[in-house]
Amino acid sequence: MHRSFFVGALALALAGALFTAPVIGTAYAEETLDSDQKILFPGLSNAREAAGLPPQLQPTGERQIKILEIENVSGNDPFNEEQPLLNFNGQVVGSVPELLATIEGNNNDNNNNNNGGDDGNDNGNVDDLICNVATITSGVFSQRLNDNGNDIAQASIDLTGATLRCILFANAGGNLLVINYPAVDQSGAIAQFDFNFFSAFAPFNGGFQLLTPTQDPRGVGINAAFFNLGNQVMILQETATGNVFTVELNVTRVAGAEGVGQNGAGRDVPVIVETPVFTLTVTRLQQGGL
Amino acid sequence: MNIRKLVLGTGIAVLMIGIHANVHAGQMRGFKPIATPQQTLKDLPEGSQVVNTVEEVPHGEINDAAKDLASAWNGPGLGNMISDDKFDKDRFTRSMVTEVPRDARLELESVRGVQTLSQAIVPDGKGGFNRVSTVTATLSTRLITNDAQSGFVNAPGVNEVRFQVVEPLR
Repeated sequence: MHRSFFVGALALALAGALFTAPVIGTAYAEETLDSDQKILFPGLSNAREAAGLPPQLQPTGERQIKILEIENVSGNDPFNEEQPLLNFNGQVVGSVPELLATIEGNNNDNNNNNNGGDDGNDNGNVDDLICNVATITSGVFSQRLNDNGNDIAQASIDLTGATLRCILFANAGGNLLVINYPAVDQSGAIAQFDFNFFSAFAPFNGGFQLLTPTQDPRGVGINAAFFNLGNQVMILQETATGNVFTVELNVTRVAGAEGVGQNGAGRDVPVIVETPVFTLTVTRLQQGGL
Repeated sequence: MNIRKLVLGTGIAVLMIGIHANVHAGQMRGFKPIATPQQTLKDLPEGSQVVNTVEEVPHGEINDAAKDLASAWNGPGLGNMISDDKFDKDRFTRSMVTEVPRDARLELESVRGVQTLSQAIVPDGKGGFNRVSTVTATLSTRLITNDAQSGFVNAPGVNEVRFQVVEPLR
């Protein structure tokens, strides 16, 4: 009798413990640790104090302040990425006189209006465009891995925005024309670098198409041509508007040494072993025909 | 018959109100998201923590930074005063060299509306932490230069500048 009573009581107690344990456990699991009332890691704060530091992180007061972002409210934005000087009320202009006119509020013609009032949007009249500088020296060299490490110097012309500003770059960043020097003649059995020639191409994403001369038989690529050094004339068309631009330019060799290397087939070919340099001068840039 | 018309009219009215509400709801979606700690954390490195109570960066320090900035503009130290996180920093520093005459200078006329927008504790990558604050201020400036053809050039401007303030914590 006694034995069965104890066994029954034990079974009852065990069952009760089994049922209540999850409830108690859940209650503890949902309790949020409050760092305001309890030190979560007492050993860590002791370590900071032992090192002579305050228990919490404290600002040192040595502040480094840098510009993160600029939003133009009105007038000139001296931190404009494209043109820190020649901008006003969010509009980038092409020259100081245009800037002054914009500041005075009487700039009714946003285009380059220096040729008798032509508005720059028609193909029938001629409108001269002026570049930021007349001449630029190529300063960036690209190593063409597939040509035995030869160097090619580059410069380019950029024609952007409603104001049709012309900018010369000492790299391939321009959208109108990119000049590579020396050119690689691919018409023969072996592609040859030649210091007497340069190639010019309109970048695919630049928005312009090279009309004259048309694709060169020496195979420098689509929308590209092969030229003798010196003065050359090219005509390009803006794809979006259909406007035509004529570029007169001069490419002159400044430096670059020739050597002998080997092509992929193991044959000796003339290559350029030193960095070539040239100057690009835009002698005339017009919207419309010459 | 009248009851049917009444029910029909009420139904159309309810439908129209519903369409109207939907149109407004659609327009509301174009608004910028409300700044929240979670939103701010998205732009910060891993391990960062947004502070609950923002401590204002002293206005005097922002005024001094704006003065230093105007003095350094068009000089060799300007690049150091621009955060690497600024959009198109390299393009701007290149434009300063190629597009701005050497004699051009920037004069600071006023600093106003200084306000600390956000603050976070960010790991410094060396085992420590920095307190990084974003502070906005409206600067009135005047760009001055002399052009060979046009003469004196004086271009005023008002710009809202966001500063990144990094303060080491110990």
